[in-house]
Parts: sequence; C-alpha cells; structure tokens
Amino acid sequence: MKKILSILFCAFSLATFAQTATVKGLVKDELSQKILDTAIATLVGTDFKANTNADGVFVITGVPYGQYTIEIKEGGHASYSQVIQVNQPQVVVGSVGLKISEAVVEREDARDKAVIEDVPTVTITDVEAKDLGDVNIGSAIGATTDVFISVTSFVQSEARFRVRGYNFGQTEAFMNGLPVNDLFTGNGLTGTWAGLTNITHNRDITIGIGANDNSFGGVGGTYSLNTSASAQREGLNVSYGVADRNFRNRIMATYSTGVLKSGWAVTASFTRRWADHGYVPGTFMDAYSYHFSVDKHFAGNKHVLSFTAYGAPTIEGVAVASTAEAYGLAGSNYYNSGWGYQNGVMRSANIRNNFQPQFILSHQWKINARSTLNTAVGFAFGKNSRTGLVYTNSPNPRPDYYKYMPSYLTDTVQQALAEQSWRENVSQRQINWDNFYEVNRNNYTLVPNAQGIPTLINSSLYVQFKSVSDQKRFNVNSVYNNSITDYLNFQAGLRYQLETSENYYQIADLLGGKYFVDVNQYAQLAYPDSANAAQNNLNTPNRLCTVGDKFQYDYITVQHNFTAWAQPQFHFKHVDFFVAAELKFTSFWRNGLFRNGLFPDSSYGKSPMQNFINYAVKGGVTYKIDGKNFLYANGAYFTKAPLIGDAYISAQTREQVAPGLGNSQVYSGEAGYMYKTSNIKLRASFFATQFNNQTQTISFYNDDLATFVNYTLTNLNTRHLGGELAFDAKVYKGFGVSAVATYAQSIYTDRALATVTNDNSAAVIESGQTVYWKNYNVGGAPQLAATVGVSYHSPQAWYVDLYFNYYGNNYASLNPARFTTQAVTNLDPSSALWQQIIAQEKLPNAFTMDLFAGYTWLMNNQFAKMKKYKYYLVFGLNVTNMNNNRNFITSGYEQYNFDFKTRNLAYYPNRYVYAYGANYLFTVSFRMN
Amino acid sequence: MKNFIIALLAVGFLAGMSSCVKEKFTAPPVTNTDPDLTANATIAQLKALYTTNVPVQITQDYIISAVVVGDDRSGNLYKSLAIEDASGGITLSIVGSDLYTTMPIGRRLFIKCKNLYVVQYSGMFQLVAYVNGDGTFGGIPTSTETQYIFPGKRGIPVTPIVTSLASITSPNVALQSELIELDNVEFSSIDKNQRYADPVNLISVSHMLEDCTPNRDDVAVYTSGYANFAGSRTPSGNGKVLCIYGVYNGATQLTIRDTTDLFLTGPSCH
Repeated sequence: MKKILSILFCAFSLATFAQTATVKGLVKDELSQKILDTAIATLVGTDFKANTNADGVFVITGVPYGQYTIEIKEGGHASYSQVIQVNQPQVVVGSVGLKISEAVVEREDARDKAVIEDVPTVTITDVEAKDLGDVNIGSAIGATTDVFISVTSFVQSEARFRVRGYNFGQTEAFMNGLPVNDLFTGNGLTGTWAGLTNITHNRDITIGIGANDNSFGGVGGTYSLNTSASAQREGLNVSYGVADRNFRNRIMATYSTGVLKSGWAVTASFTRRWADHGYVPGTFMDAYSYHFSVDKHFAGNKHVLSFTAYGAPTIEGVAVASTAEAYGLAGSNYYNSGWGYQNGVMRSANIRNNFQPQFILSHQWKINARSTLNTAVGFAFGKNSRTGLVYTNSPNPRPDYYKYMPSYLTDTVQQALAEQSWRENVSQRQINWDNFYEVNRNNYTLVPNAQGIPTLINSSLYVQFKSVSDQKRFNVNSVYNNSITDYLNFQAGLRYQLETSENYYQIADLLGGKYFVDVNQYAQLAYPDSANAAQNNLNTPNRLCTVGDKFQYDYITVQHNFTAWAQPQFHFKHVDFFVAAELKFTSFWRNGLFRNGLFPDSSYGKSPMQNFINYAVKGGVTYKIDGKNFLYANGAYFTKAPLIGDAYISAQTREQVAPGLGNSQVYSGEAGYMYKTSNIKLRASFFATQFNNQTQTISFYNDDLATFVNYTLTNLNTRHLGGELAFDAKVYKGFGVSAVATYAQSIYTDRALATVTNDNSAAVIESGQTVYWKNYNVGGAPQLAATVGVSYHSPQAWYVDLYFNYYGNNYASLNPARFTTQAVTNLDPSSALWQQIIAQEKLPNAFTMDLFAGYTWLMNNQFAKMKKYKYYLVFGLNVTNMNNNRNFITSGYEQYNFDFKTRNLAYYPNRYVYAYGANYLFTVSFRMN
Repeated sequence: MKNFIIALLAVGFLAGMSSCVKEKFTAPPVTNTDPDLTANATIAQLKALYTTNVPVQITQDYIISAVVVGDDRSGNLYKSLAIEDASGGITLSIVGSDLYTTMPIGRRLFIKCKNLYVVQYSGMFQLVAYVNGDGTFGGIPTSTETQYIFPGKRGIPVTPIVTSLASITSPNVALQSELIELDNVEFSSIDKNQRYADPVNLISVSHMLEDCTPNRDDVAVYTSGYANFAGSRTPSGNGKVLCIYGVYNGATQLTIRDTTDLFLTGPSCH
C-alpha cells in the first residue's frame, strides 16, 4: 500500500513575526488514526525541534524563512521526513500519519499471539460449570500501546490478573463499531474471534472511566477492535507456529489488498490451531477461525461501507481443576480428572464446542471536516456448549470425588492401600469409560409406554450431555462525533440490542445404552403422592431420549435494550474536561419450553417481563501542567440492570426471579499523574469503585441431593480500591525498561442475602439467609501484580523482551454456604473447626519470567529477482514461565458443596488451577507486500 | 520464485487445515467373562471362621465365587449386597452406593478374602474390610474395591430357596442373605395398603407378613426410608413373595429387593 498521507490543513491563528515563522502539525498513527503525543519534530541540521503535545500537535516557533527538511520521529514508528518551504508566518505541515515500524509490528504480533492463544481453558468442575463466568476472560484482551494495558493483558494474563479486580463484563467490547458483549453473562465475546491474531492489531483499549469517543463505556472501560479491510496491512502473511500449550500447531494465512484505487479493500484471514494432546494430559484442541472483510470507499472517503464476517468454530477438551490431595497422589499439578481411557484411547469428558458466526455491516460517514456518523448493524447466531457426564442412580463418575479419595477413609490399612492404588493405577484416577458402556448396556428400566403399560427399556445411567446455549443477537449502534470547535467536541450515540438465548441439555452420547429416560426420580421421593413430580417435561412424560434430544430443561431468555448517550469534551490550554450521560431501557423475560413436574404453572411459556430503566453519568478533568506533566481525575455513577443469567433463582426449572430483583449501583473514582516525553512515560493512579446491590446466581451439582442447588445472592456489595503504576523508558539506543504494578484490594463490603433452592423441590429452602462475608476478599485473581520488563530492539530487526513478574494477594473464591449460621450452628466460635470453616485461603505468591524474541529477515537482499514486492521471513519466540514455576496456583476456589451434617472440610476441599510450567510458542511467518 | 513460494505455502496451509484431530471413539467390546480366578473356599467356610463372637480376620488366601442375589438397585439394601454360593449366603459390605451398576443380581463375583473380616451385625454375617478399635467395622471402600472384588459373568440364574413362613419365624442361620420364596402369604390386615416406609422423613418401617394358617405365623418385612418405593403402598392380596432372608437381634427380618418381588394378587385367605 502506498503511504497514506492525508493532509488536513488546520486553521491556526497565532500572531507571528515578519522574519520568522511557526511550523506546526498533527501526528497520528497511520492505521489507527490515534494521535501520537510523544513524537519529536526536528528541522534537520538545526536546533529547532518540538515534542507533540497531548493532542498530538507540535509547534516549532521562531524558524527563520528558508527551506528545511522536517523529520518526525516516534519510538515504535518509522520516521517521516518532508521538505518544507518556510516562506510565510505560519507553515502547517498538516496531519502526518506515521507508519508503525516493522520491528514493532512483529513484536506486537508475537505478543498478541502469545496472549490470545496462551489462555489455558480450565473447567471449574464439570458440575459447577455454570459458575465459570469470568475465569479466563481478562487474558483475552490483547496488547496496545499503553504499557499498562499491554503488560496487564499479555504478560500478567498468565496469572489471570483482572484489571482492578473487575470481571470482564464491566468492560464494553466493540468489534468494528458493533457492541459485542453477551447480554446473558455480560462478558465480552472475545472467544468469537479467537485465533484471528493477524487482523486484530487495531484496537483501542481504555481502562477505567475516562472519556472515550466511541461509547459511554463500562466502569472497566472499553475494548474496541477494528478489523475492517481498510485497516489491515496490505499483503500476504502465512505463518506456522509450534507450541506446547493448549495447541501444538498453528497455521495462519491472511491476505489484504489495502485500499485499492477503485475504493475497494478486501481482507481474508484463516487460522487453525490444533493439538491431539495439549499441555495438560487428556486435553486436545481443534480450533478454526476465519475472517473476511470488504470495504468500499465512496465519494473520496466521505462514505465507507464495510462488511465483515468472522467466526471461530472451536472444539476443545478442557482440563478440570482438582484438589491438593489428588494433585499430590497423581504426582503432578497438571493432573486432569476429566479424561479416561476408552478401549485404550484417551477420551475427554469435558469438551467445549463454540461457534457463533458474526456478520457486521458498518457505515462510516464523514459528514464534513468536523463531524462523522458511524453506524454498525450486526447479526450473530450459534451455539456454545460444553459436555459433561450425567449420572442417574449410579456412582459419581468423577475419579476425584471425595468418597473415592484416600483421605475419606478412616482405617489406616485401607487408606494406605487406596493411596498406593491412586499412585500406581491410572485407571483409579481417571474416568472409566469402559465401565459406563458395560453398565449402560446391562441396565434395563421399567418405563410406561404410550399406553401407560410399564415396559422394560435398555436405558443409559451414564450419559455424556451437552449443556447448550443457542443464541441469536441483533445489534445496531450509531455514534455521532462532532469537533464543534477546537475547544469542544461532542459525541452521542444510540444503540439497540436484542438477544435470545435458548438453554438446554442435550444427549451427546448414550455410551452403550439405547435410551435415556427424561425423568428426575429424586424429585419424586419428596412427593410420593404426586404423579408428576418426577417429570422434567409434563408435555412429554417419561420420554425416551436418544442422541441429539433435549432433556432435563429447555428455556429461552429474551432481552432487548435501548441505549442513548452523549458526551461533550472540552479542550483548553491547560485544562481538558468532559461530562457524559447515558440512559438505558432494558427488558427481559423467560420462555419455558418444558413444563416441569414440580412447577407445572411457572415453568412453561412466557414469564412476566422484567423492565429496568438505568442511567449513568460521568465526568473528568485533566490538568496539563505543561507538555509533559498531567494530572487527571474522573468520577462516575452507574445504575445497572441485573443480568438475565443472575436474575432467575433457577432459570432451568421456573420463572421465579430473585427477591426484590432490582438495579445495582456503581460508584467509581480515579485520579492520577502522568509524565510523558518521547523517552519516558509514567503514570501513577488510584482508583476506588463500589458496587452495591448486585445480584448473582450460582448453581452447582449436589451429589447428596442428586440435583442442582442454586444460590441467588442479593445485596452483594463489593469495593475495589487500589493504586496502579506504569513506567516505560527508552534507556539507550534500543534498550528499554518498563514497570507495571497494581496493588489493590477487592472485598465484600456487606453481608449478602442468599435465596437457596434445589431443583428436586418446589420449596424455597432458604429465603434471605445472611451470608456473613463482609470484609472478606473477592477471590479469583491476584490483587498484587508487578512486572518489570527489559527490552532490546536492535536496528538489525531483532528484539528481545524479558519480563519478571510477581503475583500476590490472590485469595480462593468463597462458598457463600460456609458463611451462614447454618454452617456453624452449635459450634463454639473459638473452636478450630469454626475458624477453619470461615477462613479464606490465601494462595501462595508467585514469580515468573517471560521471554519474547523475534527476528525479521528481509529476503530481497539475498535474491536479486525479488523486485516487485518485499519478502520477509519473520521468526518469533515466546517462552512463558521460563523459570518453570510449576507450583504457581493461578486460581483457587472453595467448592460450593458443603457437608452441613459432618462439617468435614476434607470432603470438599479447595480446588486449584496451576499455571503451565515453562512453555513456548515458536513461529515462522512469510510475508510479502 | 514468487509462484513457487506461494504454491509451497498453499500446499503447507492446506495440509495443516486438513490434518485431523481424532475425536472418534469405538465402543469397547461387549464382554461377559469370568476373571482368571478359581474359587478355593466357600461362604460356609468363611462363616465357620467366626467362632468366638468377635470379628475374625481371614488370613488364608481364600477366594470365593458367589452370585449376587440381592442388590441395592431400589435402595432398600444399602451399601451391601446379598451373595450366595452353594454353601450359603453372606452380606458383602461395601462403602458405596449404586453397587448394582457393576454388581447386579445374577452377576458372579470372585472375592479375594485375605485380610477381610467376617463379622456379625445384629446376628447377620457380613464380610467387611476393617474393624475399628471400638469393635465397629466398615465395608470395603470403593477406592480399594478392585483389590478384593473381581466381577465375572452376568446373567447367572438366581433360584430362590422355597420355604414356608412357619419355618422361618425363628432365626435360621443357614438361610442368611439367601433369596427365599414364600408362598400363600399376605400382609397382615393393618399392614395392607400402607406405605412401605416414610420417604419424606426417611424413616424405615416394618410390616408383618403372615401365612394362611389359623394361628397366622408372621415375620417382619423391613423397608428402608431411602428405598425408591418407600412411598408406594403395600398390596392387599395373597400370593408369592421373594425376599432376602435376614435376622435382626434374634428375630427374622425379611427384605424385598423391590416391589416386583411381591406377587400378592390373589384373594386374601382370611
């Protein structure tokens, strides 16, 4: 692609002297069009030079008339020079688009690739899958220019660090201007573009509540990707990567035309990542991704129409978190109880299968030199599912179920025997598929046939099921931007979102049996006189299910919302400030497709609609002491509607919502200091955020009750307080250092109220039960994370980056049941058991080292025939956890099961997920452009 | 050169796209065989070791071969199986649930008895794994089960021992844990059309089964509150009953495996 140098002459009006002139210009990144505030403009051969200010503008004053060469440099970008004639008081170089230097591009590539694909997917447990929510999300955010954002997203992601302790749903995600958060869980749909690292460089990430030109933003900020064809580097890029992560092989191919003279631009990208056996035994991966985008520029870029289609059909066998005892006996922290041999072949019970193709049509309209209107319309559909094992009237298939562990035994002889067997026999610690087949083949059950006559049926007791979420999304988003004056610009937007989500269980494999009978016999036990209690669906009683049939539950949620926002931003010499407001209408409902025998009147059909009106306001001030020192402060207040996934106390069986279901409130403030020169960037900031009145629903399988137990927590209040530091300096000729640190505290600030139900009973078991966890830590992510990086970028197109990371203050996530009076009734508060029940485990601190290195070889020098294009071979290496820390627990959690009878904590000990030991990704890319 | 490179890349790319990750599994073969073990002892021999009314550990390398005649499918038997060989029956105690899935009625089990214990619980012989210091004992744990129990062929016909109610009103050691058949019996009048047990409060209940003799000999039929038929009601008719013979503190106590063991459809004889 030829250099795009779009010269926009700006009207500056400053008094000047007759014999000297002022030279000024605006410097931007060519691709992203983001302003570059650390560039230096020099008149070659003179002492005249100037840095760009926060608005990307440089001003060189007192330049004698004459001819000069102006050179503009910025670290990370190729330098730019131009001859200028200074023959009038005011010389405007205009808007200079700097190209990112090749070496930097390759480094960013390597980082991206490291990030997005390095995310080990770990199941919390097969039966507690519903709580999986935000376990591996934060890490999917990729790198961008701010060192804090890039380090937190591509280095600290290995520790599942979450910026400010928020879950990822607090960040608004956009793809080509289209909102891409799942309305059911709130989370960004980052998985839908997983693997497409070649075309997701152009992103705009903001952390916190500062102003953003494209949306009001969440309390966590915004995450916007631009993958349109015009934004892609022209040329062909084909690469092969080899790794020992959750994938072993990766191929990628991308071709982009750049913007052609006809105004068209096309890009196509394909990726495949796969592994027969991933890093953790029993895992595998087969992940494809595709992306296609075509742009058409009309009327001299006045209109750009863009169509994008992408998707990532992914199948992955995932690992299951286990206990210290099981890891110890298996002799590895990568023990995975989620697989077993079938007929001598490894088979995983926990398979993720995701595919939600997205289609986006967007229109960018430059109304005039000062205003734009960007509109995106999108449609997506598809299924996310994960498999697990259903077992009815049969022993728990999990090999690390507590009753199968040596610690469960009291007799020392038997205990020793069990330990020995656990150590020596793979079959003891893995799933026994062959047994499932044998049991199912030999199991016959009496089931009433159509005439009501009991008939003997070969029915499976063990079934591999799929928990499916089948979604459809329709979104429209429109953003208007007007730079009314140099001092004021204004953004406003409208958005409509519609999402339907059908959720059900589906038979994936009958494992040797002929049918599965869709009844819940355990529900019958409590209602011996009811003819219907056992029926999961009264509309099709005693249904014999085969592969592909839906069973147990089936319901649809529908949500739509409408959002309007506006934001004026003011820019003065020393002060910038903004205010913004958002108004949002949300309504959702549940539509039951099964009539549950326990809830014949509240499970089937459309439920009452839940409606919410929300608003949010924010504002902020930046004080520009000079071109290098800045102070800023922002504040925000949000009200938020509850998520559908949390609103219903047991969405799978009934339409009942949490008691007093209502909005949550978020108060957030942040303030900081920034220092910026072309060689040094420093940011030190503080944040404080309070979430009040949140609602959360947790569902987990309880083996004693043989059903799901649901905890709906209301009055869930948390506070996130902390400080952040980011430092980035170019030390000497290619040597650089960076440091990023967060020290924060995330705690529950109040007692929550629990509404407890189980799916075997029509009763509400506990209503308004107090959860005494005030001042406990919100677990699941390190609250202390510090990284120091050193880098060398050679002019010979190779680089080495080394990062040293330290993580601390990571706490196990809590089980609310352990913080109720029920859990400690009749115990002496000073007893050891009482203390153990309410003690929150602090996970060990950890240290890791990461390496990124790369080399770009321009082949043209070697092969004289290569003339028309530039040919590159690019080598990249990333080694994560170089120090091979295999005892690094990235997350730990209290199991939701708690034995209220014995209070034996050894039955349901904490489960842990360990970071991979030393692991690598090596890539070779061929590029031509 | 350019074309060559592009062709090479295309071939490599297509090869990568089409290489497969294997996720197809063949079902394991259907088997129904005995393990390579030979019985060298009988249940009667095990019981004979119990001579001093205290638990006795089996020190010999005894292997018995017995067939399951009562399992825990309905939940009425719990953590135990009734097994018998030609010499008699015994209760095999296992700390686990849903044992019927791998050890159903009619399956032959080979049991390596060495280090197991023969005990009596309220007069019933049991095979258990360990004895605590206080004299209580525990069944074979699920986690060590494979070291003692070797399941064999399924579908072995189980023939009940036909006997009369009158002959079992007083405890009969020889019949313990065996499947017996009683004919011409019915529930006593107050035990007809009653719930077998209390499934809501999980309370076990005994109902009296009586014969047609004028003095109405009777024995208790015991049902656990955890049985999946606990909430069903006892039949009112007369007929045949299959059950596992047991004793409890000096009295006969019968246990049905499921309601399908009752063939009480004839008219009452009283």
